[in-house]
This record gives sequence, structure tokens and C-alpha cells, in this order.
Amino acid sequence: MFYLMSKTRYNAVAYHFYMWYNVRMKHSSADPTWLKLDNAAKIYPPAQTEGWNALFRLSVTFSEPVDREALSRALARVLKRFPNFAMRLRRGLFWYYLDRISGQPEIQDDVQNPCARMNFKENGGFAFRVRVFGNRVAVEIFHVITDGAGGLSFIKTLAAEYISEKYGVTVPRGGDILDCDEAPSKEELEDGFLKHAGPKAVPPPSGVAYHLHGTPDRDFLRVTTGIIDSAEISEKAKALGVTVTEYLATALLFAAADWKRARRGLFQSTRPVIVSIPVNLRKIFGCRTLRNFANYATVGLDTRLGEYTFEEAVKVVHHQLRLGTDKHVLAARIASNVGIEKNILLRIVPRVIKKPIMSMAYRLEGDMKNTTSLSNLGLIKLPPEMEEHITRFDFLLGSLVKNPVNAAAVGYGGKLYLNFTRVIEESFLERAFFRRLVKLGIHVKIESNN
Amino acid sequence: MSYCVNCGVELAASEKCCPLCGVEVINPASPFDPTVARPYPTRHETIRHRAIRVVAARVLSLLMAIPLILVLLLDLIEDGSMSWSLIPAASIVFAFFAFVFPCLFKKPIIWMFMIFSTLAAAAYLFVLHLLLKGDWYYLFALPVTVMTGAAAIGIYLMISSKKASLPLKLIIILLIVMVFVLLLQMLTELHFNGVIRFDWSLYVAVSCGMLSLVVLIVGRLYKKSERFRKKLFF
Repeated sequence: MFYLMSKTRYNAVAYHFYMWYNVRMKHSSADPTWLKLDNAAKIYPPAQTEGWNALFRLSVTFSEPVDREALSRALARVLKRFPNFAMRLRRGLFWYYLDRISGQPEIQDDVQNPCARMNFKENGGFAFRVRVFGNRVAVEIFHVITDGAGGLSFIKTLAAEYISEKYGVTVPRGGDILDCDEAPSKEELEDGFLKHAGPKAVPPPSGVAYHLHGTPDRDFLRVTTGIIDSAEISEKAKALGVTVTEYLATALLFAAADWKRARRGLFQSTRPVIVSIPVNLRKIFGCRTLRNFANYATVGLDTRLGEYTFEEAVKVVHHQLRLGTDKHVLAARIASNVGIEKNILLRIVPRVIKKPIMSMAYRLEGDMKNTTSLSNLGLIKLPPEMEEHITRFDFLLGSLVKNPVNAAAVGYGGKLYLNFTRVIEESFLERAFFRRLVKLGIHVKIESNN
Repeated sequence: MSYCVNCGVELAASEKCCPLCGVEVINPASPFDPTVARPYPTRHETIRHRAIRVVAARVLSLLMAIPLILVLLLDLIEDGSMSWSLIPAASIVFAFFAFVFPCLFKKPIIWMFMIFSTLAAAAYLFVLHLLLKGDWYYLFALPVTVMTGAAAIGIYLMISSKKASLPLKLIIILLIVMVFVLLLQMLTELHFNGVIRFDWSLYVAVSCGMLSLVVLIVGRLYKKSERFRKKLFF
């Protein structure tokens, strides 16, 4: 209506109102010019240091060498669909926030040590970077933008766009492969934590876990990839009545317990061995956000209670994970985190003062409660148009503050790719883990970056 | 297709050693081929660590320049010549070289800076000696400064030494202290009273000497006697 008025009567007021409406109202709904950090992202900017920030990496391997120009064009289209990626991190008076930037990050050459501290200035201000090596495209993402599931949606859409650009194939969109011709919707950019916080805030159980210590080398993230047949491991897990994640988590717990036993000095540590497992909340709460929306469930073994057999332990882990992923428990945890963010005392403190406090809190609380973490993105299913061009996916976690070794898994094309990343020289945990799998009768193929 | 003999895992063709246990892959049927593509490139991304200490030292050196220029200017404007301002100016220069200068380097070599600080102190005292027209510099201030610097460097080198054993380190440190106090009293007495006399320094020196003897004996016994080790283990 205002458009017609502005056209027909040359009404300057109506025209300006129309422009204002277009810019303001439409942008604020689905294509915002700035975003508040979501509840989980708030901790990452103050916690980052000169040599570290919280990154994770997803990569897709094509059957042919990557065409950088086609990839660059695909990236430009994908960035329009994922506005939260086309943002730079900026400092407000009270909080950090994400501010819209135009353009796109330059496509870089891959390096030997993934997830090294991201320098935003060198990256054109973007909080993610795209790196190419041979047939592989890797996206390293700072956790303020999104979590693993959001990142997976991004890289799948990027792969779909790239295949369309390169081979001229029309890739059907659906699920988390988004259509870049559509406009981004409001639900995709909402803060799921604020929306789905429960009525009662219950903080997660406290207690410090056993920590792995080794010779630190924080500038070089060592990657050890184990390639496992998905059908084989899912059969083994099914035989015990558990999921693959639970099966892997149990093997990881055993490996960490082996470490603890091997490293004991005069006294045995009384701290329990605990594995933290990120839980994707989107399915549980029916949320479509592309930003952070994950929480953690922890599984652990108290080795003081005696020796568990694998079958016994896997049952314990199974039940712990069921309890940990209960919708109401998770809602109460979210409410607890949101409560901290909403705390008026924390809110009115300027960012300059807030930063050291939050940084210290992250160092004291962050990953103190778990020994290591296992993030499983599950099995990736793609339309056949994409499947014929894609051979592999990888997912790996950057280093954390306290825990030097972490594991991340993703399944594709009948294989499970399990990436261990560590910032210490000792490979004890990976060794104990994969040797355990071999003993359980699972074939494992290993490769590494060192 | 090779397997690790230790871990039982299959190894990718790009692996020369097992990434898990480090055992070299020796497979006569398919020897390691270095031309096989590795999963990651060889380019290593370096992370720049900006030392906060270095930045702070730079800022501090700039800040120190302000009072330095200010006192010199004030003195010059007031009576047209430099008189009193040289003392605070020399103090500021000394403080800079003794404390701030070592922090400007990313990887400091500590014993070098100790030599440098000693020289700075000697130079500062020399300037004071010239300005105040005293006669205490050559026979007292200079030897004491050099001696203190030498003792500090000796103790530092002993503490940081990786080769020397613990008893040897202790003995040498005690001997350094012993010689230092004896020389200190000798110089003091010579300068202020004109005669060489030892009293308080003797107590310190004798204690140090006896302690080093004890350390020597215990060290020897610990090394030689199994019985002694059994009683003293910690």
C-alpha cells in the first residue's frame, strides 16, 4: 500500500515510511543487522585468550579436487541464507554482540594444526573460516555463532550449493540442507535457551572430575582419526541394547579409567572419571534455531566401587544418558543458565569488568566437571545427488581450557569417523580407546596429522 | 594395508609410525611410500603470543621519559644550568636499565641482565660520586657493587644449573655467601676505620663453612651408604 502511494502520488513521506518499514521491520524479523549473543555463546568471547578460543571444525571431502571459485560463489549464496554467519563479534558497553558485515571470508589454504586461535582481523572480521586442502573443504567455526548441529547444517548447505554451482545439478533441499533462495526465517535465529527455559532453575550437579595431565603443547592440535565401519559398531551396540554414542562413551570411560590407573602416584585420586556428551536440544524441544542450542549430559564411572565389566558399564552409561537427556531436567538446567544471564547485578556491570570475572568463572567451572568429552553428530544422510560427489565428513573439536583430549564423531557413507584431538604430547587416551575397540572385535583404521 | 603390531589397528598408507603408540610400521609386502598423500598439509599455523610483559615495559619506558624530561627542563628554565636535576635524572635512567630494560625482551637471558644491572648500578654510583664530589667510589662503592653482582650471578647460576647435584649446589652457594660477607666487612672496615678487622662476618662465615661441611658429609654418605639411604629416603 505504501509502495503504491509512494509510486502514484510521489508522496515523499509515504516513500520514506515504506523504506523505513522495509529496512527496519523486515530486518528485525528475519534478516537482522545485529544479534545479541545467545545464552551459551555469552561465555566464549570473554573466555578467549591470546592463544586460544573455542573453535570446532567440520569438513566435507568431495570426490574431486575443490574448485575454489565455485566454492566462493556457493559461500556467498549460503551466507545470505545463514545471517548469523555473516556477522562479526563486537564489543558493547555491557555485552559482546554480533554485528552484520558484508562480503565473505577469503578461502584459505588448510594447515597442519587445525583450530588454531582464530585471528578475526586476518579473517575479514568473520568468526568462521573456510579452508581447502585437495578434495576437502573445512569450516572452522567460533562457538559464538553456532554449535555442532548448526555448523553441520551450514556445511551441508554449502556442499549442496557447491555441487549445484560446480556440476549444475539441482540438489533437493529439506531437513537441515536449506534452500538458499528462501529468506531466513525468524525461528532460525532465535535464542532457543530463552524460549525453552523451564519454570524451575536447577543447576547441573557439582563436583570436580578427574583430569588428564600430560606434556602440554597448546599450539599444535594433534588429530588422530579412527575410521570404523558403522554397521559393525551399531551391531555391537545393538547386541548390548544401547546406542552407538553410549557404546563409544563407555569405551572412552574405560580408556580414561586406564589412564587414571596408569598415572596414579602414591595415592589414587578419588575423583570420578566423567565423559561429557553434548545433547542437541533441537529435537527434544522442537526448535529450528541455527544458533547455539545444546546442553550437556554427563556419564561417569566411580572406579572406587570396583572393576566394571564392559557389559555392566555400558548399562550404567545407558541409564545415565537417558536420565541426563530428560526434557524436564534439561529445561531446568537451561533455566539455571538463563537465570545467570538475567541476573540484574551481572547485567549492569560494564563489559570491561565482566570480562575478567566471566573468564575466571569459565576457567574455574568450564570443563572442571568432566574428564573428556565425546560429541557425536550422528549419521549424515544426503540426497543421492550429493552422495555421488561426497566421500567423507569429519568433525573435530578444538582444544578446551582444562581437558587436553576430546573426541568427536560423525557417520557418513557406512563409516564412522571418530576424531580425537589433543593438546598434549601423550597419546595414551586414544591408544587405550582404540585398543579397547579392537579387543571388542571392531576393525579400526587410523590416520593422523603428525 | 599395514597393521600396528602393538595396537592391532589398521594404519592408513600415509602413516610411517603408529599414531597411537609410535611403533614404526615395517611391512615387507608394502613398504612405506612417502609420496602417498597425507590427510593434512605440512604448513603449520603459528599463533602469535604477544607478551603482556613486553607491552607493559614499553608503556613504562615511555612513562619514565616524562619525569626525566620534566626535571631536566625545570632545572634548565629555573637557573639556566643543570645542577640538582642530574641526580633524579640519573636515578630514573638507573631504574630504567635495572628494572624495565630486561622486561623489553621476549626471552630474557637472566645472567646477562644481572651483569647489566650491576654495570648500571656502578655507573649510577659513579655519577653520584662525581656530582657529590665524594671519595668513596673507587675503594668502597665500586668493589661492593661488583662483588654483590658477582655473588648474585653465582647463586643464580648455581640454582638454575641442571648438571650440578643438590649438595654441590648448596656447598657452592654457602661458600659464595661466606666469601661475600668476609669481603664486605673487610672493605667496610678498611674504608671507615682504616684497619682490617673481622667480627660479625666471622659468625656468618663460620656457620656457612660448617653447614657446607655437613652438606658435604651427608651428600657423600647418601651417595655411598645403602644403610644411610634407607634411613634418609624421602
